[in-house]
Amino acid sequence: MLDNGLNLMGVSQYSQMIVKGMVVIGAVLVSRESAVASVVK
Amino acid sequence: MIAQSDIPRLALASRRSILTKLNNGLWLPVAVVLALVVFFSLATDSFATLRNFTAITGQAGTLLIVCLGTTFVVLMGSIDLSVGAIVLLVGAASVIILNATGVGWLVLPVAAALGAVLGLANGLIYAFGRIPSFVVTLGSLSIFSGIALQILEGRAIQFTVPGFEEIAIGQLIPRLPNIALCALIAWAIVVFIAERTRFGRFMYLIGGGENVARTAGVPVRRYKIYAFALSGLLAGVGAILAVARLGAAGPSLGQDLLLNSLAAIVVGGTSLAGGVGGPQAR
Repeated sequence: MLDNGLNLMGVSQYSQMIVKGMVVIGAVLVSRESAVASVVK
Repeated sequence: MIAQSDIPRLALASRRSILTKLNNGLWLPVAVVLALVVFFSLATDSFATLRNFTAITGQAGTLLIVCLGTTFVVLMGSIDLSVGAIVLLVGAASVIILNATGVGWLVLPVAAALGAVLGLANGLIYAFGRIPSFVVTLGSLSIFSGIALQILEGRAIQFTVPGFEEIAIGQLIPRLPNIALCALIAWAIVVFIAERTRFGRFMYLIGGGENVARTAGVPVRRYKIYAFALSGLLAGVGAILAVARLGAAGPSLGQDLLLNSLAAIVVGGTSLAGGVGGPQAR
């Protein structure tokens, strides 16, 4: 879906790679934070 | 028999269960997808259309099928870097078989079996060689890609069987390509395997603590091999459906699956450390 949306927005292939990498890293960070929060609770 | 007075209590319990699931990590993938849908719908007019929905489901079909298999490998604390290469090799071999024999959709079980054999090879080397999974699959990635590129001679090969593309781009259900339908069926089967079978429970157990699982009597080595074989099998199925969708097998087939599959698995809630997550958020 990310690919599709970025293609429709006319984002270049190289910029798409940057966005995808950032989304992956962001998702892992958020999931780690929520896991830590649930342990603290 | 449920008493009339129990119904509100059951409804409340069900609502609580959904809220608990959302609190336990299901919220992340759901929130990410919703945020993306809202963002792209606002950013471009052509995103929130039925035609684009059909295109997205078609594009995501192969990825979902491949991810379903790889999830088990990640769930037991290992990693499979060779799924993209398995897709490439199975895709290349399938096109050759298809063009030589004209068997049509019967090539699907052949592709699945070939994928399973490649996954089995990964699993056997990993389990008996006691080599870290990322090293084994990094090596096999190179080997499988090399063989596939030799078969393809560096160019895309189209299949010549008329109507074969229907198994991927045909629509048994209007607006839903068959490849997406196959992916949903595969998802249902894999969720059942993960939730209701010994294999699924052992994957969580091995991922949670391999030594504990071994001490508890789980044949760890055997189940590790099964997981890699299943990953290969589903990569094989994904490969033939991708070929049917694209109309050919080319050197770039499956190229982006490595990053995308791992990203989808992690964003979907499965921990790279193993033991947490699965094909259906718990």
